[in-house]
Amino acid sequence: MRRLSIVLLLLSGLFVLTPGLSDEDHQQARRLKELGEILPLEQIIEIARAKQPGRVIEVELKNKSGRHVYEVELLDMRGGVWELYFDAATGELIKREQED
Amino acid sequence: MNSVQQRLQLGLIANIVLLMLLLWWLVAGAIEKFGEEFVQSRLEHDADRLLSALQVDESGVLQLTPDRMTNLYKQPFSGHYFVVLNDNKTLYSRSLWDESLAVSRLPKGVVRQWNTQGPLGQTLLVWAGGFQKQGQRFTLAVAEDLTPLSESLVRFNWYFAGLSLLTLMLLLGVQHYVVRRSFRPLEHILYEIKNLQQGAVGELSEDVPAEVRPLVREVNHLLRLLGERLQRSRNALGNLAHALKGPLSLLTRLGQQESMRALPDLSASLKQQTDNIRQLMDRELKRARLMGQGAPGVRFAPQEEMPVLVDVLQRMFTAVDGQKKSLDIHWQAPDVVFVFDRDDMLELIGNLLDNACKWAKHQVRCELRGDEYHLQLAVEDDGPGCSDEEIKQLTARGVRIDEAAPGHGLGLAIVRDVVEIYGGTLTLGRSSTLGGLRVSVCLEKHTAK
Repeated sequence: MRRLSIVLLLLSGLFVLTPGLSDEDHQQARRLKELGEILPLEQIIEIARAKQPGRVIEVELKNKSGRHVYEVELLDMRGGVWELYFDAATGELIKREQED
Repeated sequence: MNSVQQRLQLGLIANIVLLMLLLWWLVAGAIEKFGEEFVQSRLEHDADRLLSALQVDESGVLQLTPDRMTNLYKQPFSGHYFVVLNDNKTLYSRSLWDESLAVSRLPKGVVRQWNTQGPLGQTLLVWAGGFQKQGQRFTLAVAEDLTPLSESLVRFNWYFAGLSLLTLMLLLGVQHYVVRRSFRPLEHILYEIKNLQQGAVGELSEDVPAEVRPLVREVNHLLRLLGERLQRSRNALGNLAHALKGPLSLLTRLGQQESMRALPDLSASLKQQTDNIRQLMDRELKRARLMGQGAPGVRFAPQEEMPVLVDVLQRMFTAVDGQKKSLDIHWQAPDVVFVFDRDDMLELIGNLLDNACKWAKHQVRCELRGDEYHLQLAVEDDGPGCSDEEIKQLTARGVRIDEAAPGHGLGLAIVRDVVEIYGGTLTLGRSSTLGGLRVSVCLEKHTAK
């Protein structure tokens, strides 16, 4: 059990440390969703669209001080790109900003 | 529903709707099929690229060379997904994120294709096949979202419906115009029939579309037949009256014979009856003479009819019993066409002039006034005229003022009959200018409209 948690810890550290391997973030998201630690992305996107209508162009799952955070990039009708940050576990909007 | 226009419109609507439905079914079906085939061929291409990017190590672990995939498979829920699975492991594209795609293992060489639900309510077309690479068997499935395709199909359906409606409206408009144009000759025929009724034309013009020409020909044929029949019966009456003249004068002489004097009642009765017959015959003969050859009709043009009538009367009265009477018949009439029956008018004016000529010394005046639907007629002479008492008597039928001038009483009675038919007024009085009898008549025709 301890070994598993160590492996997980190592893995998560690896993801944060090596952005070049971000291809693997979805695998982590899948695992975390199956463990029930984060909400499904579909739900997060629904919330995001309710806050800011637009097309989803990129999604990233980040770990910020032990908290899983979904960063959703949305393109609105006027061509503006929005970045919305959600608490992946609760779906709470943490931050919303428009990219310049 | 008894309208050609409506029937044609219904027929056109039914045809267009049927045609458009058929066309829509064909085109929409073809578009959907082409779209799916296009998506399918793209999926096959993507599958080929994935196959080349896929590495399988000896322990059976599947690995993808990341740079060899398009970004569409990396963007979450982009609508482009793949799944690679073997006995040990399932590899999902990043675009699937935390969702999965139900794919069952397929034996090598087997290819399958189906539709399924994807994330965010997408409808996916899945293409899957069983493969073997580097000695390892696995199943590869690629999927693409069909929503843009079905959205454009929906858009196409709306465009098509709008276009169909527009086409239908346009065709209905064109048809309406064509039908209107085709039926315009009928309106002309209607106008001609109205003219016919007023006697302005004798028959309908046969310069009409072929479809209605038979009808027009039949109407013309009927008109000719009616005209001939009327002429014949008129002639027959005149001829009969003429033929009866001989036997009647024989009867009159018979009544004056010596042997009849012994029976005064019988001879008086005989005289009265023969007189009656003579009056009726005179009336018919005069009528036949006055009517002339003109076609019957609800049309009386005084400028055309009066000269003939006056001419006939002139001749009748200047040669009475060889007594030459210099008669000046002066008439005056507006240049209008009255919508009164020609025969009735000729009988009315003819009788009044006949009376006036009979009593006049030298002068007779006839004046017509009014418009199409109103006719005011005054006939005056310079004869002795009538006293108030006589005028009162004249209103009774068949009363004669002077027995020596035969037919007088009946003439006025006929005039009164005609005036009654038209609901007009008949006034007798003394002429202020000529000093004789003045008869004035007012007629009014109530238009149907």
